[in-house]
Amino acid sequence: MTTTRQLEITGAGSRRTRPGIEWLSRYAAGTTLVVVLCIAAVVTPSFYSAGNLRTVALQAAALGVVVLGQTVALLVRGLDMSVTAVIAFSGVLVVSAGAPGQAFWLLLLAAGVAAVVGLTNGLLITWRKVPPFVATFAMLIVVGGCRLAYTHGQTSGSAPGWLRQLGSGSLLGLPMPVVIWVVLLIIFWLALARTRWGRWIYAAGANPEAARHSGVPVGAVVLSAYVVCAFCAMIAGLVLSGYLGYVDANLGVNVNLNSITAAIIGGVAFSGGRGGVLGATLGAILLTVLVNVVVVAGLPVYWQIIAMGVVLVLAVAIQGLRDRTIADGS
Amino acid sequence: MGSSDATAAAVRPGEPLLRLAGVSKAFGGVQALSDISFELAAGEIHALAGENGAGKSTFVKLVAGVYPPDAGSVVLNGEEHARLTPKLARQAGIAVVHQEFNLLPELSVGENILLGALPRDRWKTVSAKRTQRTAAELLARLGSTIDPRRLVRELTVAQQQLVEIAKALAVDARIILLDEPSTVLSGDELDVLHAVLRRLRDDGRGLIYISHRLNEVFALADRVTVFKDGRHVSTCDTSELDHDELIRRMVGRPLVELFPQRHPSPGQPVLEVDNVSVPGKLFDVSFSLRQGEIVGLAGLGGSGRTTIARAIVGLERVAAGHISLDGAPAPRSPAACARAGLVMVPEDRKTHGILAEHSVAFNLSLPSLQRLLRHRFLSPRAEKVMADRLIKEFGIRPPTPGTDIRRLSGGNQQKVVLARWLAQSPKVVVLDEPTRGVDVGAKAEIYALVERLRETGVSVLLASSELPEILGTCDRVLVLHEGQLVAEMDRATATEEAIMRAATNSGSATVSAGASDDDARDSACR
Repeated sequence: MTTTRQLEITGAGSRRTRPGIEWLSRYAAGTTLVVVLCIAAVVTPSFYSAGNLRTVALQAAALGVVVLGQTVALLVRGLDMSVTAVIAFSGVLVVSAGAPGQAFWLLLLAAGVAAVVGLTNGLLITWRKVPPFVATFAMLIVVGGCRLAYTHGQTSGSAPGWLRQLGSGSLLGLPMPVVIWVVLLIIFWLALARTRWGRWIYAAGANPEAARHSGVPVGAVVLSAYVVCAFCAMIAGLVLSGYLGYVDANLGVNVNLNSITAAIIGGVAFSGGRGGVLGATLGAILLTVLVNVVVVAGLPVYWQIIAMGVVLVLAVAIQGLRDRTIADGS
Repeated sequence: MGSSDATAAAVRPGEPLLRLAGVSKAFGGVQALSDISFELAAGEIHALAGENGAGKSTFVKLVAGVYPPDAGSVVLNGEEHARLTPKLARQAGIAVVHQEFNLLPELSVGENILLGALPRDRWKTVSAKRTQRTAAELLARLGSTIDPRRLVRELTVAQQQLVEIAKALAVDARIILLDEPSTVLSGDELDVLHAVLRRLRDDGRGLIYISHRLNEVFALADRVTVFKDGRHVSTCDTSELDHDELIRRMVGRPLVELFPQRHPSPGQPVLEVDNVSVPGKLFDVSFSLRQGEIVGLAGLGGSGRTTIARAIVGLERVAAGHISLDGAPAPRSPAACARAGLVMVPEDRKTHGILAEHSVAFNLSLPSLQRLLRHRFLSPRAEKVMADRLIKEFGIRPPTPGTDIRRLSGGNQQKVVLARWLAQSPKVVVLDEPTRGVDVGAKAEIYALVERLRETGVSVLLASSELPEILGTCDRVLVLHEGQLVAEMDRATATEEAIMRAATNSGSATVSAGASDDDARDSACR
């Protein structure tokens, strides 16, 4: 018996992980962000002009809100391709508001749309076992079509005052969208790290079967993830339409892939159960800054796309490397 | 029957096919094999015996070149290999037949056998005709008449195994390692396998045979080597040993010590399973479990042991019959069952038990999060206190709640999975193969934990394929056969032989209970 005891005590070191890769996968977004900001200071000092920084902050806020929801979907081994459609549709709904009294009902309607989309995504995935990509992609098309039916393809009117306030007002010297973003970030961080729901999200993503055995209502948890994600998209839709003052077919058009990219750059595992909103938020900032620096530096716009692609490939490669070192150690 | 080289001596010639001298292998700090010496002669079947965790699988992987040894040398056909790779091992004529087959189900038998060296025709494309012919020849050498054109997925498990062995012949392997090939086979199929293996031996090949069925070791092997805790215990001719002596060498101590002193004091019935059926898997099973009772569920693989365990905790949909807990209908969802104190520790730790990449504390607290809430938020301090308490109580090592669970040994991972539930003070715990892949020391600790659970009034249902485990821990034994409860035995009357007889449905069992007649099954099938 003593021999087995000894074996087990020393068993702690039986699995090797390379600290370098572990570190990279966790802090790569932050590190790269610092590097990019330094490069920007040298190459294009105009990046740091007050006006430009405000633009970056606003863009990052809109993306960042969606990334929060997308992170939750990714954590439960899924992803949400329908965020673009929810952003556009909820934007269209509130922008078309006429009298102030109508605003409340339209807001409720937008929330209803988000709830329906989130629930449908979630039910398709948990109950019908449709792969998340297929289910949410289908919803992207359906909701996109609904929006077209509602607007007849026309650019929608002018945003009411309260919505403009939401998009371009400020609070305590900070742009309103940034305030909303930070508040949501704090809520999400608390919810994921310090509530039972947060634990369930991680458990359902890390090992659904084991989670089920431990009394986690896995189906309900996954469902909730998609509802949360749809609501984030709705809020982003309100902020964006308030900021622009109108809604056209291009609203939020890149957000689908950008939000997933940002989360993965920020260390959220595509395979679920690993990562968090802080990293994902850094990923969102990095992505926005990268795109902006390319523009400010006066480079042709295709460099944006190339830079984003390269960053994504690197992020995924780092994660793949990390998974492999773990597999080797087994 | 083919080109079998029947003249090759069946007795040992001078130079062994394979020799390991002083081989050691450690994973991190765990010494899986230490200072192992081993010889395999041409024309012998050499059995490898030892308990789970004795190092048999590591040995197989070492010989197959999957793991390089830390120390010692591997000599193949008189040639020393310091760094054996899987490729080198293959070239040197080593083939491994695993318990799970490496076959491609959608390809034909012939293609599977010759994969990697498919015969080609004039146009450099694969020749179906030559593939068939060569494969048929190889199969004939094994005394088999499987049509090489058939798809592997159409074959029975026993036939698939023959294909796997034919693959070894296709590369003319001189050394064939068989890792528990018999666990999936029934009586007749076993005889066929044995005949094939003897044929290969008489052909002058060397076979290393791993099996948990000791009768088989005596029937088949020329020599037997015993491993225990990664060390070489003995090697001798099988004729020099008897059954008991072999067990003594494997276990290294009398069996009694492994199991704790039992103090049965069953109370009122807690769990009642009444005519429960799960389509295709379980037919009209009824039994009850009393408070503070440990009941064993025995049966062969596929007999419905796991199904009934899953059905009780709501993981399997019950088509007919009902389950009640404390006189009231038991909840039907796993989450509700957990709240009601009806929990299960699943068989497959890796896929169903642990949450990898998360800390021990995360894994421990998952079912008890409700109790860690302070003002609606999880309290890290309360979590640490609980984790520390459970780690101490269950002797989990290393005793650090922040460690990634994957860094723990199998036994300690299992303790975490068990401890998770004790924090909940459950009423009924269903254990499915609680000690699979766990070393002897951890086994004894787990048995002691089960006994302690019982002493606190918990009822335990223990499904296991290891009969000594059932006999050593349980007050009562239920035996399943093809989804039906065929026997119920008291601790006093239960023996390994009686359980085996009932589980294979050969001959009448001692005390028959529940539905064992065919009518019951027909009505359940509907």
